[in-house]
Amino acid sequence: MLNYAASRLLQVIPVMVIVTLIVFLLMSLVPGDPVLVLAGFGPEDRQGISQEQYDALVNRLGLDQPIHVRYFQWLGNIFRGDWGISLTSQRPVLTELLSRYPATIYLAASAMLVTLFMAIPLSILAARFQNKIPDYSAMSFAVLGLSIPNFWLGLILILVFSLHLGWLPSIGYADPFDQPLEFLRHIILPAVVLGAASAAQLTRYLRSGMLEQLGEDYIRMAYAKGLPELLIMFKYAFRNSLIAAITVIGLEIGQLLGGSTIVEVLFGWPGVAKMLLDGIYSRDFPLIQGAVLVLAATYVLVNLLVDLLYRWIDPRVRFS
Amino acid sequence: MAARRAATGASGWARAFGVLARNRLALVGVGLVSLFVFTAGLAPWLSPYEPDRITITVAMQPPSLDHWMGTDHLGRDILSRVIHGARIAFVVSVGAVLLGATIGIPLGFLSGYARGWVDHAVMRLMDALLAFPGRLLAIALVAAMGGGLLSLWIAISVSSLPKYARIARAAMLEQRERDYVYAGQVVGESHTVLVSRYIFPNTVAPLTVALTIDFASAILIASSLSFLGLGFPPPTPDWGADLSSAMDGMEFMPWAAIFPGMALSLTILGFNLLGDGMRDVFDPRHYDQ
Amino acid sequence: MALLEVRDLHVTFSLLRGELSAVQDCSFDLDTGQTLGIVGETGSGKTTTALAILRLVPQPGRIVSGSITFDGESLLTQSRSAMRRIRGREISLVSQDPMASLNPTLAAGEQVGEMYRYHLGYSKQDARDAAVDMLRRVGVPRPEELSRRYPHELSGGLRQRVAIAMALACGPKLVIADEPTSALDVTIQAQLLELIKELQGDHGLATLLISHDLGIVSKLADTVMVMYAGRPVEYSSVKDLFDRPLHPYTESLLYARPRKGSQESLRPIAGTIPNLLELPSGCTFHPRCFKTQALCTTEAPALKEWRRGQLAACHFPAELKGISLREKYTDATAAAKLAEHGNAPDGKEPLLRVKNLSKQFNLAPLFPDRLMGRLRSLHAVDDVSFVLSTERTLGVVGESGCGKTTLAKLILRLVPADEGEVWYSGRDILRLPSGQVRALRKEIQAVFQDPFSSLPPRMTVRQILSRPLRIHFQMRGTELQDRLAYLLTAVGMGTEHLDRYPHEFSGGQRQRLAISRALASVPKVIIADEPVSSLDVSVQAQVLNLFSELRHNWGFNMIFVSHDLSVIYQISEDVLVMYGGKIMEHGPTAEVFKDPLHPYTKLLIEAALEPDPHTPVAANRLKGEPMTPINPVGGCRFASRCPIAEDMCRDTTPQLEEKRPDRRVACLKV
Repeated sequence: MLNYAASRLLQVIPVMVIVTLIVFLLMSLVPGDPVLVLAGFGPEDRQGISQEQYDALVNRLGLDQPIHVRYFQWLGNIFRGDWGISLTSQRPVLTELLSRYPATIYLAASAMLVTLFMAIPLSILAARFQNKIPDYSAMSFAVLGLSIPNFWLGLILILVFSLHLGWLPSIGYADPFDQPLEFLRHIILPAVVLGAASAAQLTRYLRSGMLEQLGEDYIRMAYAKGLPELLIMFKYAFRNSLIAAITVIGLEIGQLLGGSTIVEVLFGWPGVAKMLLDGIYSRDFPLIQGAVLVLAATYVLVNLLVDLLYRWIDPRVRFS
Repeated sequence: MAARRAATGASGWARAFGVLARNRLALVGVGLVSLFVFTAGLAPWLSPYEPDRITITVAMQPPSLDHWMGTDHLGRDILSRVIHGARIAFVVSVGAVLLGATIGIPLGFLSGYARGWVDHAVMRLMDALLAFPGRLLAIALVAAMGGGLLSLWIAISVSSLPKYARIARAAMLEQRERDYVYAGQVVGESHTVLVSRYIFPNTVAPLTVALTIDFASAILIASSLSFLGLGFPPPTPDWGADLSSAMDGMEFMPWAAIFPGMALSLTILGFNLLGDGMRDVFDPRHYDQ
Repeated sequence: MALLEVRDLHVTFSLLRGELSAVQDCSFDLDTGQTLGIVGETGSGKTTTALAILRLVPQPGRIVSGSITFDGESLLTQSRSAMRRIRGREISLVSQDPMASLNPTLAAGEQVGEMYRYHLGYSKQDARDAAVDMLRRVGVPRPEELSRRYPHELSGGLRQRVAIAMALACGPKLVIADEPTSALDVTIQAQLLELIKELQGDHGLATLLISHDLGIVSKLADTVMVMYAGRPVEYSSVKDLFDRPLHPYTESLLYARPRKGSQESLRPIAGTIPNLLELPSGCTFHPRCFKTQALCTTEAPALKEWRRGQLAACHFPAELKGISLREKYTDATAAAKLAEHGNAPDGKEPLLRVKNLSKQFNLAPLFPDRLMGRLRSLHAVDDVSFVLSTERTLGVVGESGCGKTTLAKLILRLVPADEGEVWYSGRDILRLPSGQVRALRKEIQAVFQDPFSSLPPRMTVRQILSRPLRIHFQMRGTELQDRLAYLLTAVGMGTEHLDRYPHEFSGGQRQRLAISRALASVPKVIIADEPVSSLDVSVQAQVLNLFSELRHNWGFNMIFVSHDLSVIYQISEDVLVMYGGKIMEHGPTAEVFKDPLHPYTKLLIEAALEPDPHTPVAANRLKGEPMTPINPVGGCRFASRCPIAEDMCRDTTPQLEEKRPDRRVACLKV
């Protein structure tokens, strides 16, 4: 197990190197003069800048260096905690991102809870009553959940629960430690909207996993042993299909982090993803790079943990 | 026995269509997808009004006989915008899917056939692309490149590329170890013939399913990007962008938020149902019954 | 009244293409302390019968009619919960593949313990102790420790012991054993049969033994029921069945298997097992029977008592009415056949020379391990040298994991060798530049084990067979078509099969197609890797006969890989016995089988079961399981299981030496 953890950690390194490289190269995709872009000017501002000022900018940004040197300088800065200065707020990018990070994590974690609470009972019902009404209902829910884009689902839910019924706020945030009740009221809609698609995906996966398990020889053997049916459903079929689903749950966390961009914008949720979008609208490139890097690194880390968890839980791969 | 009789041969295809026809949900999928393609193709002839004609006098009207889906805050006919939105969604998704598949599939095949360091290099690159959560890479790419058709194509296809590469690679690796590929080698076949005649035909099924379902996700990502204001500039009739602008007046004209979203959801639903149906068709378990 | 009485059982499966009768007109009795063997091939309905007793026939199957009475009570009318209490406690099941039938994520001991907890109400701790006890009784070594292991950490033989422990835990009255040893190696099979016999004696159980293997049934059963296409065709005591079978199918089965002492041509059953949806009229066996008469095609025979206690469903049972198979194939015809083929001449020349061939597979490529230089490697083939001579078929035999299949792939250049040479017509073929490999392919061909996976599924027979003809002879047009027809006729098929896809053929037909593909380039050598082991007994014989016939007519030489001693005995002049990646013994087949020199060869031959109820199972002296050669140290690979091993065997690696003329043995004690 320790061996595996170590080798898995080592595998993360090349992946993270390429991730940082992609994030770094994003900048060179931006059309226009990179000097102006990185300094936060529009193309029309070139006239207002004297040649001395321009050269100073080039020098300050290090753009007179070859690109691989710049990459390593940038990477070194990232490691030292110097993620640049946000062009809009003039504050360090890392500080800005860290202040927003908890909100994103709360949202993703709540959405994961929604996912699990919906997917587990639905998939068990669907598999137990295959091709009967509970199965059809769960599967209709699942395919709809996959097909309805989360921003439209969000709009409809806001329309119904905020505007029409007035039960839940449509926008805003409250700190979970200062105002826990307010926090709960604010997070319900975003968490449901964010979790719906993942719940649908997981329901489908768990159901087909359970059906596959139920067709295995060892389930027939369990019946031949005379074990109670509930025991066979849970201890045999569900448990084994959940183990197989752990990796899928890990991938769904990626969907949640990516989907949070839309949900945070829609519900005015002050997280990293909302900050990323604000950065995009105001062409604040250091902030964009930082936010993308934070989200990607979070996902890589979560996947690493999920993978180790899977190795820990599944006896078939535990010792190899 | 059943598992061994995989979807095969001419009679295999005939049987496949039989299975598809028995699956009612898949037929719904075929219907929705056809409707989408038909609307996209004939948009200029189908739409009752110009999609971007502003008529302030009829602004914010609820659905009526003149405007079946009502009008928006500028008096534009929502039905016409929905019809033209299909065309945008079609162009974006076809381009993105083709681009992603034509690069991703050969890459995956190469990776699985060559194995060794080629495989390692390609797969680490794909891992890195997959390390970006969900739609984040597409958003970052569009943010850097700016909006417009070309950057949407690139952004969406880059984020679906690893999916294709992985499916193609897995199919290739699975086929490579089959006895009939060894048997082909023993007969004296060249690498080209082995790949094109022995291996490729057996990877078509999983790839077709992936391709169909990818249409759904391409349309979903494209509309998400437009919803965030990263797609096409106004007044392009785009479902995602229209939903975004309908957000502000939602209390007074809910129809502007409902109809484009419905069109979008039904289109995605169509591709998902079709993909599910095809997965069932290619599932060898359906063959021995 | 018998413990189990089955009367007129009828089980159907509702498929889209129609209603399929998997079991029909099936009646039998089974008494306490007795063993009933049900024998049959694919689709005979033997497993469905077993599952029907437990009321576990899978969807879309159902029991349509009939009765099953167990211990005086009808099983078919029991409530679900009553049935649950009977399963496992009164009637238990041991099924074929112990890997698939154990829950992969529960420890072995817990799975046995469940029986005590849910049937006898034991506490968790008591159940665990009872499970360890039970595991000890079925011969699991170190039961305390192994009860905490998961199924994938146990060997095949141990897994089946766990399954048997589970079946016996609650002291059932009836055990249904469905192919209990078919997935295991011969030596392990012998160990388990001994165990089953012993436990039967201790517990006084009734056993329903289901198998395709007449050898196993002859050793364990008291009475035997033979099934064909869903119906019982013969039902009798084990001695009568083997000594004087009544039904032509039973008789054919007995003669279709190669026997240890005979190298004469087999007497296969013509045709293939029928499709249950398109059963022939009259007697279902009539299209394959050697004595069909007009009556057989129109009227289905009922099961009838022809001799005291011996029932058969046949209008013209053997020896009573009409001729028997024994008379039909007199020794004269067999001798004539042999003469026609000509005996193997002694003037042999070396054709293929394998020198010091080795292959290792690296396992556990984990980074930290590699960093510290800890490589785990499987020495699949280790320093193997031999010569294949003209006119002599070389059989390669061994248990699973002995390296025989890797050896075949190495010679075919399908897997690159680490070391060694393979000399053919003056060149080392392992070092041929890749441009010249194609010319080599023409000379050396292969037939693989599983005919379901060795033919490309989306190519027609025409396309498949044309490829070698185009590649090696650039044939086209009528020349090509003529050759295709010739190739198909050679393997007993016709041009009407040309435009069909592989999935439209049965296993035996597919293997014929694979053989004709191998023949297409008129090779000098054919390497056949377990070519009959996935086929039914009746079809196996056809394919084996085809091989011997073609070999004489086409003049190729063969390396024939198999785990089955009797097949090797039947087909090969020389034999190579492998164990743990190394050759143990090499010599002329007849001599090796008559007088094996290596202790492993001796024990392997002892463990193989003859279908003969008169000789008991030989006391098995081969303990333990085949070794896997991972990072092997010096010494003899077989030392850990060898009954005559001494200390020196564990230190000194024996060399393969010629101990007698033509006989090479790797053993220090010979």
